[in-house]
Amino acid sequence: MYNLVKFIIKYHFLILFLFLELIASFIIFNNNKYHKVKYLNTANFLSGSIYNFQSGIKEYFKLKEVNEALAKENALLQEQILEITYMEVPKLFNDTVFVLDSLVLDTIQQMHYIPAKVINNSLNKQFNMIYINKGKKDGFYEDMGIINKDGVVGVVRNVSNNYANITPIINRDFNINAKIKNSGFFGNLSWDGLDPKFGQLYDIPNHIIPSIGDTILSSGYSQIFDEGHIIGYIEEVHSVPGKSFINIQVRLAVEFGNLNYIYGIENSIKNNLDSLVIEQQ
Amino acid sequence: MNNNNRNIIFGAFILLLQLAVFNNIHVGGFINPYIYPLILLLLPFDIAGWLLLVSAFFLGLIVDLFTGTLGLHIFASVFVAGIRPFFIKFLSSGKIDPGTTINFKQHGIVWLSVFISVIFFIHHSVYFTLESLNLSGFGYTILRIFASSFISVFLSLLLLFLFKDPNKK
Repeated sequence: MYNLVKFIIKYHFLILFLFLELIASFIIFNNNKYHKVKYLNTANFLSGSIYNFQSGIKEYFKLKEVNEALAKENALLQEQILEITYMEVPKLFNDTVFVLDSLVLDTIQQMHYIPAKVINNSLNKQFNMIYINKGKKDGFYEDMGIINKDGVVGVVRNVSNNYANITPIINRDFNINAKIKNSGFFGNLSWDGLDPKFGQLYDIPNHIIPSIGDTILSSGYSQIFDEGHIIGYIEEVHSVPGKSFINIQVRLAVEFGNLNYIYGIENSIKNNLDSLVIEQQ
Repeated sequence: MNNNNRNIIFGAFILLLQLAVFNNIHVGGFINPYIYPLILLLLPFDIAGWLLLVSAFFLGLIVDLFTGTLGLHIFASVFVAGIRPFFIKFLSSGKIDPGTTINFKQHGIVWLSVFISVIFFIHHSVYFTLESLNLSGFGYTILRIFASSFISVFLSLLLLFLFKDPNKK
């Protein structure tokens, strides 16, 4: 203890100097937006590079599982191709087709999927983060919806040129508008920070009796996700005494412990819509 | 009027000049003179280290509050205060009389110019680099550092000359 005091007295100038500079840096990066963005991007770049290297090594041990999953996904896609080919499109004339709902065609053109690989991922925190190996250069942008083959994963929070990080469903900041497939009622889905396998759906009116196992889908009311991406399945229904709402425990479709490849949903008309919304406000 | 009181008034005058006049000068977008580090140089050579650092912190804070760049001037100012004692030791080869402050008579124009130039150059380098935080426009940042340092040093020497104590020839 005496030595510690002696040390502090001897080097008090250096210690005070470093301390004050640290405070100054803290003030700079907290109060100036430009510096904050620079800091976040640099930190993102550094952690991204390290995680990329780490995951390059880890990848070898997972090759077999990934192969199997890809093969399964392949098979599923093949099936869908067959379905589409055999789907009967009513032909009116040689080059004219009859489509009942032309809005569907618009939606399809509006969304594009960009694949990326997960390089780091956490499960055990309140504010979990996923890092992926693609960034601004590949077309990822902030507030972009992210899905994988099972369903909704999260939303892009921060992008640098080559890397991006994602706020997954299992982050307490996350919030998404979701609906029940069969009844069509919608509410807010978020995560209570307890179990990474379950999310919570709030604000469903209590006159509805949802059936266990029903699917929860994205509602399409936000510009981030289009309609119909699977979020999870109903596990339990809790009614809150004295309230006109029920809370639903949702088993998430995505297994966050085992994420390998994800897709970013590029919404080509989002920017137009956003500027429209801002104008109206 | 003794030397200390003179310097306190001189320091207040410099700060006022910085906040009211020089903060508003932007010549060609790359000359922004910052003369307030001169206040740190006016403090006695044998001032306690912690007092020097804390004064530098609050000096930077005041300038920051007026320019709206919270933290940048604090960082640069504390940085300069941190190297000042070592630089003084180096320049005066270890002999420091208690209570001395910088003045023309004792140190001469050459010594003062070197002292002020180096301190101002370091201060401006830290400040402008931190402000741009960008390596791609570094040529432009260097231009700003050199141009602004030159003007600041010139202004500081001019001020020191104008405020020379008439009793000490």
